[in-house]
Amino acid sequence: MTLDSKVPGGPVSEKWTRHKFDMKLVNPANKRKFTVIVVGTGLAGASAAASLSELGYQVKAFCLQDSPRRAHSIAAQGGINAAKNYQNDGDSVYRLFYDTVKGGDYRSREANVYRLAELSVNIIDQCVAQGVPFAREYGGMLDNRSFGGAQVSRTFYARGQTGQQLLLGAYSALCKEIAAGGVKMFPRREMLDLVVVGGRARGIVVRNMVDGSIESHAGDAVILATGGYGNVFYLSTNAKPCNVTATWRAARKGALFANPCFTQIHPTCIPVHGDCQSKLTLMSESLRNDGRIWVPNKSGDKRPPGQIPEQERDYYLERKYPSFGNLVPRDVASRNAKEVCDKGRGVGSTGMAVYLDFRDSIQRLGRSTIEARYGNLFQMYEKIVDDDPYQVPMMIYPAIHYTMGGLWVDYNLMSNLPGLHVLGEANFSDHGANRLGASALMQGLADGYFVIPYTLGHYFASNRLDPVKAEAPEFKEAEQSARQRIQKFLSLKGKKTVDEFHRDLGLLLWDKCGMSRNQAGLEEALRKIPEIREEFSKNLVVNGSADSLNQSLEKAGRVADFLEFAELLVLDALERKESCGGHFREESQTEEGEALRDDVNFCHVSAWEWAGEGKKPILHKEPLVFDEVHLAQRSYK
Amino acid sequence: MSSESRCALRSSILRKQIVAVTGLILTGFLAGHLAGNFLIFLGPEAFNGYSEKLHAIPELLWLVRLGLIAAFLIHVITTILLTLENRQARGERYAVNGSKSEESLKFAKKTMIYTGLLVLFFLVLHLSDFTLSDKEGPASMIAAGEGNPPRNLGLYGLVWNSFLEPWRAGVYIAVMLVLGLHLSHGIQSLCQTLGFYRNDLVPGIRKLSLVLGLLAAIGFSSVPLFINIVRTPPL
Amino acid sequence: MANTINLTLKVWRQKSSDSPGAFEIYQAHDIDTDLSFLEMLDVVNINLEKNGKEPIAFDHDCREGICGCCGAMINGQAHGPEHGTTLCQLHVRKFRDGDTLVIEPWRSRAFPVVRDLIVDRSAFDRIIQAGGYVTVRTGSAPEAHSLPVPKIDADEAFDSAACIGCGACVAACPNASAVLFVGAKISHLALLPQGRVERERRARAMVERMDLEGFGNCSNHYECEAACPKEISVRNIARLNREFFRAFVKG
Ligand SMILES: Cc1cc2nc3c(=O)[nH]c(=O)nc-3n(C[C@H](O)[C@H](O)[C@H](O)COP(=O)(O)OP(=O)(O)OC[C@H]3O[C@@H](n4cnc5c(N)ncnc54)[C@H](O)[C@@H]3O)c2cc1C
Ligand code: HEM
Ligand code: HEM
Ligand code: SF4
Ligand code: F3S
Ligand code: FES
Repeated sequence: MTLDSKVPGGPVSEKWTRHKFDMKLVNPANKRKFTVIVVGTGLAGASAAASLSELGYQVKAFCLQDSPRRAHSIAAQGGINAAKNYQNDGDSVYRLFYDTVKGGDYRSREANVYRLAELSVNIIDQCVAQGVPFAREYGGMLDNRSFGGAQVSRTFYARGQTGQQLLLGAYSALCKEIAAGGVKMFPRREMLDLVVVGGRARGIVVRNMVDGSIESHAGDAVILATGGYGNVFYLSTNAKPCNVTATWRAARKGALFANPCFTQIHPTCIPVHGDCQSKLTLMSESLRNDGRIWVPNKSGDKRPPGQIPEQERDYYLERKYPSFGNLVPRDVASRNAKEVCDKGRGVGSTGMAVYLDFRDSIQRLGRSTIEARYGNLFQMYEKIVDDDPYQVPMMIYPAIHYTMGGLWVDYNLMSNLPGLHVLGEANFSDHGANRLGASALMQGLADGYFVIPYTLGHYFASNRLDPVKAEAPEFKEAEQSARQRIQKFLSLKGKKTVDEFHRDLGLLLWDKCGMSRNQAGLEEALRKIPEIREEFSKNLVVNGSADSLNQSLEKAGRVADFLEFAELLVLDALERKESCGGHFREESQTEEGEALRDDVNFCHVSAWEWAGEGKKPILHKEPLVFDEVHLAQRSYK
Repeated sequence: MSSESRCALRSSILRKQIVAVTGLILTGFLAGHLAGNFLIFLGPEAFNGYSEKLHAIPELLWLVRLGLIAAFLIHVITTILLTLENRQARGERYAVNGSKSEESLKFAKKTMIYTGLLVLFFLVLHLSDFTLSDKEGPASMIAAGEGNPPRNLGLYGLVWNSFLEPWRAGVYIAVMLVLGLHLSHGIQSLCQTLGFYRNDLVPGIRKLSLVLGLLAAIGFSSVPLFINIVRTPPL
Repeated sequence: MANTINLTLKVWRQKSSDSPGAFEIYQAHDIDTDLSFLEMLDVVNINLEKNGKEPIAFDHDCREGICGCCGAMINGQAHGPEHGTTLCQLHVRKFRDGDTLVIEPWRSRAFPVVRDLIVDRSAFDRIIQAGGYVTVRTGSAPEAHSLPVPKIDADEAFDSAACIGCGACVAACPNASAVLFVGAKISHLALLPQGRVERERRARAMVERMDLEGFGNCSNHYECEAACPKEISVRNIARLNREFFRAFVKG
């Protein structure tokens, strides 16, 4: 199989404009004859569903939650980038493009990233028109901040709830279209399988999570906007139901899964506090602007932080990276925290935490300044941890936050399976090996509002689609296998709960395929994952019935898919013998212990094809070509 | 009436606003009534004169009365309907009822329908006491001071004599407290219902409402209280 | 090390919307006080599951206090005793050893119970569908800076837009009224120039839908504000009242 990225010709800055002109259009009267299935109503899905309905397509939208407004996008805090250059500080589409490619450690597709940067400005216009209450200056103009170490202020924000406000904007557009009749909304539905008819994605099978019925929905194209798979690690900053099921099931039907090992770890999260913890909470990265990160010099030093004198503290980031100090990028900060904790110098009851200390900045700036800058974060921390960060240093530890990998898509956001389109975090396309802060929201909305409305029309206009009904045998077959799977889970009557299996898997992955990875560990994980899967298939307990709301049953399906997918993730990490972005292979580092890319052998997208149960997946490579951006080694010394 | 506005009349918010407007009218009436009542302290001439003036133009009096009756009826019917609807809106009851509100007026809020109905029952008694009673008959005769022959003091005498009966004074005072409670929530509530949301004024309005409710209770109660304490009119 | 406490939970169990429900009593032993309330339920559920029983169903998603999924009445208080907090952000340390907690779903005619502590809040979605949006097509938006918005208005609009649609206001209101939720959306859009164009139509349509869904009327109890995890002010209700009246007068 050759992977055709379908990137149009011409200079990078004109590709999208030309492509928009070259694409075929669907006659307005014909649009309502097409049914589009949109799975997921996060930023990507909701914006796509609303925009497609506005164009006249019949849209069926699906989500897990009781309302489309609750998709995981709602949790994003920091902001959304756009190359508006309102600050007159030298930003431009080109700079945003350049920063994003570089930030992704040169593992993304130039043309996609350029388009993303180009569309970023339209997103802000669109959202403002919808009534998204972005932060403003006294003159009534939009305010910006700098985010994630960017040298320009291009991040638009709505307090610490940007994702929420953007999603509510997209949700309101979706509601408008539901009311207008263009979108039919199916909440509390879980996609269990993709249905391929005649080589094209033509529908899905879902479980109605309230009454348990298995439903088939047929359409002319399927759009997956089902978010990331960070929860494969069990503990992550992702919402609890985030899953890989939708994309994994599509992968099993022939869609390629690209770069699964590219996972992002966020350095400032509230540390794990016990065995029963279910979820990690992110603390804004901005805290690193004024907080100093340190651990005791001696390992096993259990004194309270206040009693550790200055000369016995190691401000390790300031020591190792004098010019960037505490502001090194996410992956560097995370890896260093792990390193000191692994040496036994971590703090807190588990030893898996480092201090983020505001003592000096409180002394220098006064408590009120710190309160004005971070008051709400300090409050949130206190609520969760029950410590007062004005008095005692905060404790933080890195956590899984985002997944750059996802289903492979071409420039049109269509996977190798004709008719299957993938948007938002669920695809692999724009962030390479590392995502810059405030750019996931941008990508989700660019995909949904401004890319798919064009490219989907092109697909419809250039292909002859035979009518397909939900009664077709392909649907019945998929329904049947979904039912069998469910019956299997219910019939096991073992001793271990789904959550326990999920935790086992997560711990293993975090340990062997987390912040840093090496061959031995990865191979060990590859041995152990099938063992967990084996036990899962024998010793799982799920009570209740299939024909009612059954949350354990829902989780069982998701964890079963994680258990299969995890193996691919580890395999990908093993095959990629370079370090890049969030993927740090211990074998590939500079003398100073920094990530070392191998552009000769790994300047490609790894796209994996499912080969069947028990068979090794097949690797396809899409070479990455850089015409605009110079490949260079990152350095933060 | 267009079909659209008829639909609006069934609307929860509009009906609530009707309650507020009628409540405002009733409150306005009470303010006037209280002022009139205070004339008792100035003696029979002032008080009776006021009453006579009121009755001087019967057309006007009836116009006002009709307005009042309408306001009362609308207020009562709408609030009863709303209260019944609200009970149904809950569906299954909670096993435990709690609250997170730190408001001081909780009791007044919860009892609006009861305090209102009590005032309604009181009104029957009240109208038969004064408005429908014979203001020139024996009930109006008062002997002012030792040895003085009883004089007919009209409405003043009627009121005075009525309140000499401690049970009546007691009932009136009790109802006035209840009314005060109704108003202490009602006044700020009507501001909210009519859409008053100025950030700087809202806390003030809530306090004012409490004070006004209390003042109304004290003000109205002052008449029966005074009569019971003094017992003989200061003529 | 970690403090632990024991709690007695009286939890509403109901299989589906059309089957009857009842309270069941569970003991939560040795609960780490650093756990969140939902994590405590997780622990109870693992035990139930291991003993062949069905776990308690409750809605949850972000566990960060932002998605608005979670929520239940704890001893008659929506989202439990702490102010400005969702159930997922409530921690066990707020309770004392030996406490008995009565845990019930939101109760409202407009929110039928789906299962156990899960209720159907789709009425909220239908209210938004009735008019809780600005009618603007994708791609037709003018340049963002073509319409300045005073910072005060933008900030206040944000305060209203912070509503997470959890339904605690309805649950806590003695009348099961939804005006705080509706008022928050109406205010958010009425405060911004973008939203003003359709304000009358919006107010009328959203209130009409709210009434149709079977929510109660507001009688200004202010319990909603006290229960709201985002501390949405009842002034939003006053603004809703005014917006509605305006729409009524304008016909
Ligand atoms: C704590 C946190 C903070 C963040 N902050 C920022 C930030 O400041 N800036 C930024 O740019 N990015 C941020 N991100 C990343 C960003 O929020 C996400 O990448 C982005 O919102 C993903 O959007 P999405 O539309 O692709 O998917 P999601 O919002 O995850 O939506 C997924 C949708 O798919 C549905 N779904 C999933 N599986 C199924 C299934 N099997 N069947 C049916 N439906 C399904 C879900 O119901 C949901 O509707 C943050 C992420 C986290 C975790
Ligand atoms: C002189 C007599 C009365 C006065 C001055 C008065 C005044 C008021 C006022 C100002 C309000 C607040 C309106 C609002 O919040 O919008 C109110 C509410 C109310 N009144 Fe009265 N009222 C009187 C008599 C009655 C009577 C006789 C009843 C009996 C049914 C009654 C029942 C209620 C109820 C139940 C409410 C609350 C309605 C709600 O908030 O839904 N009132 N009243
Ligand atoms: C202690 C308190 C009160 C006293 C002393 C009092 C006294 C009187 C008197 C003397 C009259 C007859 C007036 C006349 O016929 O000219 C009267 C009439 C009336 N009072 Fe009161 N009153 C009191 C409280 C109230 C209250 C609380 C209400 C309302 C809820 C009320 C409602 C009325 C009404 C409706 C009338 C009839 C007015 C008319 O003739 O149209 N009164 N009152
Ligand atoms: S107003 Fe508050 S309580 Fe009501 S739904 Fe919104 S956030 Fe929840
Ligand atoms: S509690 Fe209910 S009565 Fe009104 S002010 Fe809040 S909706
Ligand atoms: S689970 Fe999202 S608000 Fe509680």
